[in-house]
Amino acid sequence: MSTNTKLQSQVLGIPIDTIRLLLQVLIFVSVAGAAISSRLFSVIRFESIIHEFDPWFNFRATKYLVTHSFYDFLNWFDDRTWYPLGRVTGGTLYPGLMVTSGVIWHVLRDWFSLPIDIRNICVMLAPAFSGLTAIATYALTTEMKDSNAGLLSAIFMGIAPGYISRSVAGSYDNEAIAITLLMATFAFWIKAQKQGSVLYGTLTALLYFYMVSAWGGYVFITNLIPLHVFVLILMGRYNHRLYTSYCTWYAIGTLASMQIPFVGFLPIRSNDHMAALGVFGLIQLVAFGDYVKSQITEKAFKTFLVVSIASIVSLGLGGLVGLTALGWIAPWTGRFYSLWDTSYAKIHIPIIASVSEHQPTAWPAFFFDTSFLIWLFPAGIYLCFQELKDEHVFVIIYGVLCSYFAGVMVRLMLTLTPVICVCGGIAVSKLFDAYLDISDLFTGEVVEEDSKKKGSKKKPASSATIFKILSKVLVLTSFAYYLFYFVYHCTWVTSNAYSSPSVVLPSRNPDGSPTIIDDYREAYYWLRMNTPEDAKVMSWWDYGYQIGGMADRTTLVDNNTWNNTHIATVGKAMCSSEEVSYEILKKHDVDYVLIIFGGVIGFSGDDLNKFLWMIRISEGIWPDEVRERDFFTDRGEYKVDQSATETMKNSLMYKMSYYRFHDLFNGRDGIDRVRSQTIPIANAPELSVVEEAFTSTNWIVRIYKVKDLDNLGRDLKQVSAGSKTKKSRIIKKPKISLRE
Amino acid sequence: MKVSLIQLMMGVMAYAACVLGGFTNEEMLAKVKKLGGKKVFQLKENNYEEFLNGPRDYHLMLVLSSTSSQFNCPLCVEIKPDYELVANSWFQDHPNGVGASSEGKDVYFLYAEFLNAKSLFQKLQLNNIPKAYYVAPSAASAPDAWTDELEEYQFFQGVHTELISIFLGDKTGHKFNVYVPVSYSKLGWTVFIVAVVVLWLKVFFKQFKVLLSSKLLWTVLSIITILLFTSGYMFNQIRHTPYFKQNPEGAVEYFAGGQQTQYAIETQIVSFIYGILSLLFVTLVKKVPTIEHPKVKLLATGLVTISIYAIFSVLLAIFGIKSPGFPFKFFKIFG
Repeated sequence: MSTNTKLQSQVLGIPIDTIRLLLQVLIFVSVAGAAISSRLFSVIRFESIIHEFDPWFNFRATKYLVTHSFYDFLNWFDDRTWYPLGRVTGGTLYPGLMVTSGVIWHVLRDWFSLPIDIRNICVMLAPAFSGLTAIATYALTTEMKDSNAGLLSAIFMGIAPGYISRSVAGSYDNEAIAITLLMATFAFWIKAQKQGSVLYGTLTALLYFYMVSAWGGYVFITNLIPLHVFVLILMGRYNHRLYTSYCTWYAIGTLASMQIPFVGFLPIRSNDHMAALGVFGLIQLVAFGDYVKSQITEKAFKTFLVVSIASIVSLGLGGLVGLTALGWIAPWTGRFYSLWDTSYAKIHIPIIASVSEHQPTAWPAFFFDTSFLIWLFPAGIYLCFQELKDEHVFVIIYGVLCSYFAGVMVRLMLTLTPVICVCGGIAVSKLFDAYLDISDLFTGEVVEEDSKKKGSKKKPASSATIFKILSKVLVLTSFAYYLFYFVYHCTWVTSNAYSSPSVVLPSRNPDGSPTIIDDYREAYYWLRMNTPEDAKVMSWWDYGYQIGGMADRTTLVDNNTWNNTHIATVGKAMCSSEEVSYEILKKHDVDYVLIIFGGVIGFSGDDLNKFLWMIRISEGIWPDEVRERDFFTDRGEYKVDQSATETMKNSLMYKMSYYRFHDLFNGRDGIDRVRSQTIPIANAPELSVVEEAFTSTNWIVRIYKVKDLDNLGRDLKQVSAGSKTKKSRIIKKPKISLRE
Repeated sequence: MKVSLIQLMMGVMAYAACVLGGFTNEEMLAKVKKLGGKKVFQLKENNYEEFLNGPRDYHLMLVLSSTSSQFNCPLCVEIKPDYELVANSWFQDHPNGVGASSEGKDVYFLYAEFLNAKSLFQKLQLNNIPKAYYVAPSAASAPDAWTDELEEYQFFQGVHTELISIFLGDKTGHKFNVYVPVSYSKLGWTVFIVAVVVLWLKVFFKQFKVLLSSKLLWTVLSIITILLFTSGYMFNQIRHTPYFKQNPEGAVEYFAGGQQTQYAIETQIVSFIYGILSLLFVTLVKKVPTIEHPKVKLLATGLVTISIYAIFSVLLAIFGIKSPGFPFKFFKIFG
């Protein structure tokens, strides 16, 4: 028998464990390769460029970090945003992302003498970390079942579009490294909790610290781990391992997280963190109770339990109410409310409701982002319930909670995807365990041989083997087919939906050949080259980071949205009449106004479509001066054609959007291709307080220069009425249109 | 002769005004006091002209709506109690009107139910409800002069009591407070239910404990929650999506076009499909391998795999309806 096992454990003279290790490394390399390469569509198709909006700020901050010292970076006061207020940038950002790329940059340059452009590091950071995410997912799933499930979930995680959506090359955002850290923290937590190890608890805490430094979503961990512990205690599964690991994690993790300037004392004051603190207290009590129980009789313990629970509950509730009333602990934040009471944000905080990432998720998004894993997810949860060890409880809680959050907010799809991949991995590997195990075929044959010796019927036995093989083949081929399909699905989704940098837009020439619309960069480059270095550019907040990053000009508001009033001021300037706006523009030293207009080319994400939010946000601050109702026609419609209201037609935004629009149509009525409405020539706006400075090729970006006060002290309206000299500019209608 | 003609006309007009309406402020106030709990006048076929015809020395708010089930108008049902709350709150603040000393004029609230005042709706040529109007004080006494004096209130998303108060405050210049009355019956019910639950727990604590620690219960609960949430249940809750859409021709549309939208019925269909697929999968993993007989096992395997394939095809086909560019479909099921 011993020779037999020795024989089995060697293939071609190599020990089977070595082969297994080799294969695993090979698989990891392939998984990482697949994960990275599927994120490179955007680089191949467009170029190595930072995407969207927030990444531009991160990029700018990273550049600041590598050109200044680390302490300069932490104390950075940025006077080029939020003019004239400025922003305490160093104290209001999560530095993890920038520090990571800064460290990589320094290591490559100082140790390996590889002077790589910081931009390329920023662009490639997310794909590189996605490979690590796959490995972390492997570690987590291995703790749940075995390494087979781990490898499956690693490949799922590597290519699932739900995660790719936030981690393609160029999407240099906090989430790019945060999901890696999330999975790694959870993997170490499960290890710590299983073994009751102080070492793993400390590692969990250190990764948690890294996570806190990188993403505001760390609150998710802060609540999920305590919840796990709480549920385990409720299930009567308290043990010393749990105590050791949780206390280690909580003590070190909390102290570490308080070192981040932006977080500061939040962990002991904000209600988001109270669950962790509460469970920390609870586990001390439970440990004490556990000790008492081992020392006294059961009856005495019962009395002890009732009295202590009652007093603790009343003390705790009273303390919570009292501290909140005294203002010692922060009130529940608005973002927190919008997660639970879904109509809260809509009514009270237009700035949150206006962000499309905060919209609820319709079912196609789930399927789109995870394909067939979405229906393996409940099966995986069921299989977890079948075993229900401590670590399975974790997956179940994670799964149920995150499906709720992902249903309420589209962007939380990102935190749901890992658990779907873990459950999918568990489920598929259970299937393979049951059907890929061919040993029973041979054991069956042994029985046959026995029966053959006895001379009984041979035929049904061998046909039984065929039936067995057939049923295995059937299941295996069908699921291999689904796995292939999954890869196709993911690649298609990534390539079609998530690989557009949104700074440049794909399009087609009239002859059908692909081309790109590069209006944003054209306009930002124009700003950089043609305006004074200290020019102040006003735009809606969406474009603040891009203007700061690409045009390097001072902006009034940006995507940080920390000051609602300032944003409302910009909104008011956009939606008021020229006279009112001019006063605001002058008070804020605005030199240029930048707007996005998609009416010519059919780009639906333009400022006129966001206009209602500008109105709503400024109405929140000046309800007497700005009224949403005035922008709707009598029939309650949002119109820009001949039935547009006077307020609409007089607003600066409307005028700037349609200024000289009719020249494209040879002075006849123009057609807005986004809103599919006709703009009559009678509406053709006259501008007197600003003048057109630049309009990009496809009219997407229009920049206006704010006129100076008149030298003779006249009203600017009179001045422009006096001099009707029209600037002649060749206006050509762009031939291309947006590709749907 | 001339003078007498004018006098005659004046007389006729005064008579007309008497017959056709134009309650004085005092009359209105007296009527309000006679009203019961809800301080809103219900308009009927026979009285709406009296209420609406001028001249009048007070503000009116008029809501035309119907809570009848045959119209299936959720907004109407939503708006009615809110409107009555605004009216009641106003009269709670001003039980005797604003008084002569005050700057502004009194405000009264009218409500017309379609089934009781069809001709009023016809007169205004309404083709959709609910409609809400503000009618300003006026000296015009001609019949139906009020139809030209209507200022429409726009229904927006939000807290209706608040929006109506702001609208009325804008028009009348008064400040409208909203007092939500304490619902004693609700309070009583809550106390009662809590008491019953506590008692029940006390008596059946053992059974309850068994129930709480039942793995099956928690499995079913978790899986149902996950199925609901991953098929857009919260989307329906937040967006108040319709159950499905019916074309004017009567054809029923079950699937909304586009990936960003859905109807409520889609949640049911899709969560059902996910559930069935999961169930089949679990059968395949847990139950089928335990079958001993090879033929039965093959049959069962075949049945389950083919069902998974078929249902997955249906899912892909449905997804194909939602996003027309999606290239992966096993079969062409829907067009």
